[in-house]
Amino acid sequence: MGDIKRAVIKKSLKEKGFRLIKGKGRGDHEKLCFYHKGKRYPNITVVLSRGSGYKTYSTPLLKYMKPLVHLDKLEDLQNLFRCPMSCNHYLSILKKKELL
Amino acid sequence: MPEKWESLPEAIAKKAILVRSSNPWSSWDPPQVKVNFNRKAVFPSQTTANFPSAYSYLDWGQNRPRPASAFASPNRTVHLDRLSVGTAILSIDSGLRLKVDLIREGKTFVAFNVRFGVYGFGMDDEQALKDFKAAFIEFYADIVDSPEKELGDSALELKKTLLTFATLTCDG
Repeated sequence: MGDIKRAVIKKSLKEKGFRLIKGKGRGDHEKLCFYHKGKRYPNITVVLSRGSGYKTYSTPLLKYMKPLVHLDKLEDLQNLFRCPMSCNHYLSILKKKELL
Repeated sequence: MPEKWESLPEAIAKKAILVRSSNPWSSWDPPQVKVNFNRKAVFPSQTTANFPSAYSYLDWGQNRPRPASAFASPNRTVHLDRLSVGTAILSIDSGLRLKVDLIREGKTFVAFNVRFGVYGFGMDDEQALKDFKAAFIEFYADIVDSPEKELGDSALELKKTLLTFATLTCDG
């Protein structure tokens, strides 16, 4: 699995229903929280580093992001970030896990 | 708050059943207790259908000293019953513990609880755990302060769990 640019991850997450939480996030991190039908899900939150060393997310960093977005496979994460996974498909995964 | 949740502490006091692993002394992890509302003995692999999922991430256990070898492993699980950062102290009801997994990914150490979606990062596991505690207290304050109508179902379930089992105080 190749590296993924932070900007690509952020853009993709926004397309899937995540919103940037302004003023939140600790230190060099920013927080994106999942929204669905106007409801907020703080338990589905992604923390992205703002640091210059994290402009690209490598496989080890992507691995820890899997549970953050409640996906089981690295392949699914890649599909989520690189967009083959549609918003509806992602919603169906979250529903299956009884998170929505 | 729905009736189902108002009567929860009483229900747990009456119906909690201790489920131990076959050899509870084989590791330093405390024996797991699952809340079973049907009064049936249920083992961990069979528990998910019978009670709110949030409870599987709040572990019940006895206080036992951990062997030194438990700290040497980069990937381990700790159970917290008290989180303190600065003057903020989050106490979890006596006997209940918050499960925190610690892993190492490259140079980054990550402490996390998947159910609550709370993560801490650091250059070593102690730093990651400290960051996790700060993140969890921030999460608690956020979710508890949020009006119920703004939260999704699973978030609401976690809010009710936290209100039932955890108390945030400021010391001084």
